[in-house]
Amino acid sequence: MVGCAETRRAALLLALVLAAPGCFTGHLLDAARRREHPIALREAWIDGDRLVLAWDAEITTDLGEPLGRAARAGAIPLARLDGPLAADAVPLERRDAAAPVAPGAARLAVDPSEAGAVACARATGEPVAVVSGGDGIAIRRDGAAAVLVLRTGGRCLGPVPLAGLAACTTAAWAWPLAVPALLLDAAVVPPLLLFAPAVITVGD
Amino acid sequence: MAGIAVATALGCAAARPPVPLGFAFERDTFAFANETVWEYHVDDATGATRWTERDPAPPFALRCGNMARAARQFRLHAGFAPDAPRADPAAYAALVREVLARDPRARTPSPDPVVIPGYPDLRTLSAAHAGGLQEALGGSWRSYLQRGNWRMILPFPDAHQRATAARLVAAVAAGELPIVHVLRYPQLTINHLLLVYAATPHAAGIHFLAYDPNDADRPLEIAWNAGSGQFEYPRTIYFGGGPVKLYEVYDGWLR
Repeated sequence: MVGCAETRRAALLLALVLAAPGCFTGHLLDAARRREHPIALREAWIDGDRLVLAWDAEITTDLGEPLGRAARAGAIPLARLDGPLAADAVPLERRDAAAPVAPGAARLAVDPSEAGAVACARATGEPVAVVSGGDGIAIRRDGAAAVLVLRTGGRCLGPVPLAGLAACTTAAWAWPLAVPALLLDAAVVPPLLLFAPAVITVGD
Repeated sequence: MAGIAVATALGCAAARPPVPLGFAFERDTFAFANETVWEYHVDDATGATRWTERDPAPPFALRCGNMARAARQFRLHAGFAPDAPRADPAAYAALVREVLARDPRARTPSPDPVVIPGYPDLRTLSAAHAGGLQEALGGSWRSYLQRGNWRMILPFPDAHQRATAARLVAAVAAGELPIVHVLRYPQLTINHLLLVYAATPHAAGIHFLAYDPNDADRPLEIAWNAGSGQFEYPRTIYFGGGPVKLYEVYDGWLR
């Protein structure tokens, strides 16, 4: 009887291994991942020593399937804008999109432009946030080119790659499921890796 | 005489440490494409893709891995002597087999490349000897059973993808030709191998150029979005475009 039960357990494990799409915990977290891509800059302000931006973001799954849109806002210290920022190093402090700035913050004109360098070279006047490289003030999904420079007081600050406004979160429903997924992985992944040379997937 | 000149030149090259090679799409890729088993119908508006089986089945398909690997092997292990007299098909078949038997995981050029006479590059050789080359590239099992496939069952966190983007830039700058597995597993909307040969960083990320075995006419452009930490695959005849995961294969003992 014991041998029979062991055989059944082994058969169940083998079936799980053969049917498993891989690491359950990883796929669970992938499925729960939510990405926000900036798609249009709406407003900009100077609020004390911060540049504050408000933008529309598209929310998608990890694989880019759209889930909706949301208004977002964030602030960047002006002191950090004395040179170009990398897209993965924008020092963004998230703010409430409904009330992103204190009363009295100076609203900036947002000027879609052809080229940030040209925009910086133009005559200075009132502070202006110049968005360049995008289609108008829309931001390309691949984040290829859209940058923002802030022209103020005879200086040109930035550029800030607007792709740096992207965000990634994990939906809350995933966390309670992570424990059973980890337990399942503990049983399935080791034999799956053992059979790794035979991981066959059809593609083109 | 030309052969002696080529041999002398190669001998001189052999005396020095291997140097990184450039890669030119018009020169270093196959004149024929890997055909797709499926006929893809990509919706222009949404990018949604559905597919139907080709009838009749294409004779040369499911070889993306074979072709990406072979393109690297030719670049690293073959030398072309266009002024040398042309050989017969059997001789070319033997030379091609010799190239494909060399280490596909090598990073630097061979000090003793296989010299292929009568053609200036892989593009012209593969145009003239398409059938022989396709036979030498081997069966589709080489793509299916690529040893690095095990990696696809595990997660690809953003940190991994960022490290991959950085590693690809460094590899290309060093003259290497990284081969990447592109996937959205467990979705099977794309499951493909490419050879990356150029990288251009810009304000928002990196612009990669790759040899796509499915397209003999033009390179493929992949965007790395540093803000979101994702690779973005363009719309092609076989994929609607969008974020994908990438990892390197033919790289080290386990992949």
